[in-house]
Amino acid sequence: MAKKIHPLDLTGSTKPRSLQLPRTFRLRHFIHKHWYPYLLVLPTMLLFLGIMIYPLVYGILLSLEDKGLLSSKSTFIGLDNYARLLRDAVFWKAIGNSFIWTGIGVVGTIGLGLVLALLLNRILFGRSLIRTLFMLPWAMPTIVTSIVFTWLYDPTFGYINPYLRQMDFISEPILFLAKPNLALFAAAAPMIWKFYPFAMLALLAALQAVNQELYEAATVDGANRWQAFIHVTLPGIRPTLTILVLLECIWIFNQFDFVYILTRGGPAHSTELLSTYSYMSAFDEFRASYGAAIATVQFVLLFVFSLFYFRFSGSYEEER
Amino acid sequence: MKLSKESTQNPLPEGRRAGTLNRHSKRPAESLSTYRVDSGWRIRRMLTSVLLYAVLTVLLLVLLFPVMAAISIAFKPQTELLVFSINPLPHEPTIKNFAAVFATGNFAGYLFNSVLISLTVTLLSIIFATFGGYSLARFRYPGRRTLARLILFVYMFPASVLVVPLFIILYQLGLIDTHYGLILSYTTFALPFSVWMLKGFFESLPREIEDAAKVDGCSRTRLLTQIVIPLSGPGIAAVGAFAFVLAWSEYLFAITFINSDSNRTVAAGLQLYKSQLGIDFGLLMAASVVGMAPVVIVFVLLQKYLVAGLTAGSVKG
Repeated sequence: MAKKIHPLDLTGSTKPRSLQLPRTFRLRHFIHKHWYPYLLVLPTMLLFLGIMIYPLVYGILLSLEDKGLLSSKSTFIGLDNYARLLRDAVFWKAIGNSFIWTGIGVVGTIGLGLVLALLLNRILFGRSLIRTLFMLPWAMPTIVTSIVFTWLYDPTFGYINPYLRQMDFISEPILFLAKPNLALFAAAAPMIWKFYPFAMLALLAALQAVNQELYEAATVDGANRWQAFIHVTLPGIRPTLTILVLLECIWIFNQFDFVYILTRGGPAHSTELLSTYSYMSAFDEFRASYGAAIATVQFVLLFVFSLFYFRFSGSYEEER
Repeated sequence: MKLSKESTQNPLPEGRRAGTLNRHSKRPAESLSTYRVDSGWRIRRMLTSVLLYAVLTVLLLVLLFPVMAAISIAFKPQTELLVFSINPLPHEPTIKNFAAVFATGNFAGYLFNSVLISLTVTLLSIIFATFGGYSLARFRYPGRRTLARLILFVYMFPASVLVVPLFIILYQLGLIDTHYGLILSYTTFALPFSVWMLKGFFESLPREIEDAAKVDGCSRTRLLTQIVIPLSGPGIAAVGAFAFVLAWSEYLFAITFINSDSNRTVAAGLQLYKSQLGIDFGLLMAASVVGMAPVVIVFVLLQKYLVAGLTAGSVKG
């Protein structure tokens, strides 16, 4: 009597199981082996495909057409929108502003976060409570933050201007949000306020991970506080700092809310960012394709940023 | 063996404590690491501490000034708002502003919509992220690593790039001005970080527990629902806090995908109040306080888990 061999058992062949089976069986075997984990990620993948990937592709195709926001007909016009963009002075202003905005944001956020992380690292008692208090700005909705800063900046009913007036520092109110050069910085303040907690948190974790023995070694070698900072602390937090800079770059570059709420693109487009310009082209002027073209440019620049991020985060993970 | 002559004939000299024979001072022996702890250094360390706390307090007051000012302005009566005072605290606090918030517009409706949407998003995010994170953490299958990287990549997608095409797609599906469009979008935006965080969390759970259950014949689903999930309290709390804060605070989609007043969320409602009642800061601040209270409360309660998830998950260093 031949021994019963289960069709899915090894029978002495050295080929992998999947290649042993006849071809028609391979698919069924694959499904039988892996259906469970695929099913688990299915809702997530469906949402990603539907809400992120598909609109992204649709947006790129949209930028190659000429379509109004609510109209159902569209004509293919190829790269005309992009040619128009290159001739558009506002577009170039928006790109420049986006980069300046990112620069201000990253410097402000990480600078403030580093200072706070260094201070918090030195205290032991009540660190958790103080850290929570410093993190509060992150939890506030952007509209609320914007309302509060609008009040702060208001020339008549606000706080900063009447305060300076009362102290006789100024005689005329400073129009924070109406002066072309000042407006971008004024709009960056709430953004730095919102994003510094993450930097502080990441840097605090990195500071605590620095090997304390290195500090002792530095003291033995005769280093003072400043030298210890430059030669022990900074190199120690460099991996985290790099990734942090890239992450903040990406988030700040993509920021929309603060500029849109505070200045709507600012006096004469002086605070116009790629994100706001794309939005307003599509929704205020109903030129959906043009807005999609600007958004595609924004995405391409973002993609370049994120390539850097992947290169750095991947290499550091392999180091460990 | 007899004791040597010296030890029996050299007792301690008069008045000397053991262990102090070769020392120059009468204080007890101190180790090298405590040599700093005499009075001069102690005072200096205390001063440094006090200075640190003072600097931190000043920074805290400066950085939290916007929040504190907003809250105090919310309680100021109209008469006090027209005259500037350096002291932001009200002389005669009033709750008239809060009453006006609910009387002026459909703020109660906005709150209801926001609560509904945020809770749904939180629930869906937790469920989907648990499934996805567990699949990425504990299974081996083709495409797993690509999926993980895709999730990280998608984390960086900005809402401002997707809003134009997404609006058109939702418009053609008839989902504009409904809650569904927002719920789907917010869940999708909350998922990358949530999946990543829970994946890390599941990977940190000791395998022995799951192996022991498997040996006892536990099925995969029971393993997930009855063993892994109950152990994942902190991770799930972090995901829940993150998703709730995201859904409640979100602004861009809220003003774009909803038109009618009855479906509006708090974020869009605050924008409406701001553009129509620009100067009445008392009312605006009161509305802001009401609008930010839920999110601040959730954050303060769950921040411990959120911080643990943030520092362990996204930034490795």
